[in-house]
Amino acid sequence: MELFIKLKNLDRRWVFLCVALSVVLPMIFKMDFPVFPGKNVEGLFNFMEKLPEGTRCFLSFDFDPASEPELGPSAIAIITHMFRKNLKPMCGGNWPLGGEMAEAALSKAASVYKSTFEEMKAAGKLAAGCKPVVERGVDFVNLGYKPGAIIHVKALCSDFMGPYPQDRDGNSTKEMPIFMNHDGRKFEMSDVGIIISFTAGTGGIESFISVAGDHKRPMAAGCTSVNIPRFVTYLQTGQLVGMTGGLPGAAEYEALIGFFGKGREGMAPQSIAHLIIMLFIIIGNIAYIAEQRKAKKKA
Amino acid sequence: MTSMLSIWVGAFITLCCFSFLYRDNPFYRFAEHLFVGVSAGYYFSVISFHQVLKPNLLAKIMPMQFATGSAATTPPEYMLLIPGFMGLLMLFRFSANYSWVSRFTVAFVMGVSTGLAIVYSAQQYLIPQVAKAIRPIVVAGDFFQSFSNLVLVVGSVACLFYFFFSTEHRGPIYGNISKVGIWYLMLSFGAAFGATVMGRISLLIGRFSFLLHDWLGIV
Repeated sequence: MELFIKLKNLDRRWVFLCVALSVVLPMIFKMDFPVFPGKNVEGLFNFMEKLPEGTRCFLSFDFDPASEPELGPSAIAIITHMFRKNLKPMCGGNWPLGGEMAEAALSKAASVYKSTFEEMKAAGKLAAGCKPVVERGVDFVNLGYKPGAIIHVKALCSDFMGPYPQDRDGNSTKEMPIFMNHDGRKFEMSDVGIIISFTAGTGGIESFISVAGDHKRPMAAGCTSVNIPRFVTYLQTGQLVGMTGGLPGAAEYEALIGFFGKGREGMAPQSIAHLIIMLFIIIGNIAYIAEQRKAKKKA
Repeated sequence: MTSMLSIWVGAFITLCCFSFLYRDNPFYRFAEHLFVGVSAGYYFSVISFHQVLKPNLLAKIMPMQFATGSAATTPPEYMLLIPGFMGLLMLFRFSANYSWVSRFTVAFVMGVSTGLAIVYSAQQYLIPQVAKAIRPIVVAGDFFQSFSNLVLVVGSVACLFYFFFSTEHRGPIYGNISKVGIWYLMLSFGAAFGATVMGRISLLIGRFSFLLHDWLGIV
């Protein structure tokens, strides 16, 4: 018990070192842990599988670089899946750096799609209309950031093109084929097949849920781990069709689309780091109890 | 070359931030100040001007000068001068004597946001959550669903009891139900803590992945 009491006063820098090693060593030794998709991620995957080819989907990037390691892999996996199903991601953002985050995810997903095109085609996992290279303005668009959160979403419901006269790079959206309807109608929110928000905090999926009565579109979320307990409530009410939570959610989606990305790569360090932290919590509690007993004996 | 330079700068800044784990030092403070400065500059020039002001205000008031494509030939929307003017009022915050002028804009934004939030909170949060909390406690032939519903109903009621502070949490009924509420809250705090740990470790993985893969190239 004396050992545990001594450990209680261990310099916290040793704890940091242990956690760092628990992350670094599995990466260096390229450890690979199995991933089993849960029903929340499967719900989103199955919904996407059923969307007709050519469906335009609105992806809101409501995070900044601080949450990129958690939400970036989810976004890449979901956009890659969209390209393979010939769905058209239209990216926007309620957070100032959302447009830059969307650009990074689109660029990575386009390169994954291109590099795996032949393999996926041979396996029959591509939609009929898929081309080897996706084109900006035709197969996807990055609309960039718009302020206002709920007010921005409400504006999208009344006139989708209103807040987005130009894309992130300043190109006029009016001429872009992705916004054109076969019947010549103006593009509206009702043309969006699903709204997915990659949410790091406020102003994300909850902004879309707030005005759900106005846009009446199916919704899903990619959220940081911290937000999982908060957003699970929207799954049980049926307000979300699915959700990818944190890096494990991204890993599950990657497993479903057969892609080994940052999510699956991170599962071994994640699991081992969790074991180390659990061990420290147990040791800390034993030390606390031991100290209490010692104090009682002395008294 | 540019990519290589950005990776090296990124790695240096990452190590500067990690150095705080040992103890506070000038490298960490340099990274902190650099972040604040770069964020402010980037937000003002790239985000505020190019992604917000230019397409949504200037290109609509002066399409010939700022709009692109067919939008350049559309008639100017002078109505937008009103929100533009209200936005300009915000700049009065820099004046000690006239900062009160900016309150008109703040009041407008607060009024709209509060009005929308109240209506939508009731419609999309409160009512759906209450509706889904009303569940049959016994589902014939499905023990797991029955148990799950029971946990949810008991938890909702017990937590609501706990947050009723007009009466002291005592007595065989009120006191015990409040205690159950506390247990549910503790479990939810545990879940939140677990999720937070998971999130922080994911961020650490992201940084180490950058250092080991993009910078050092050893994984």
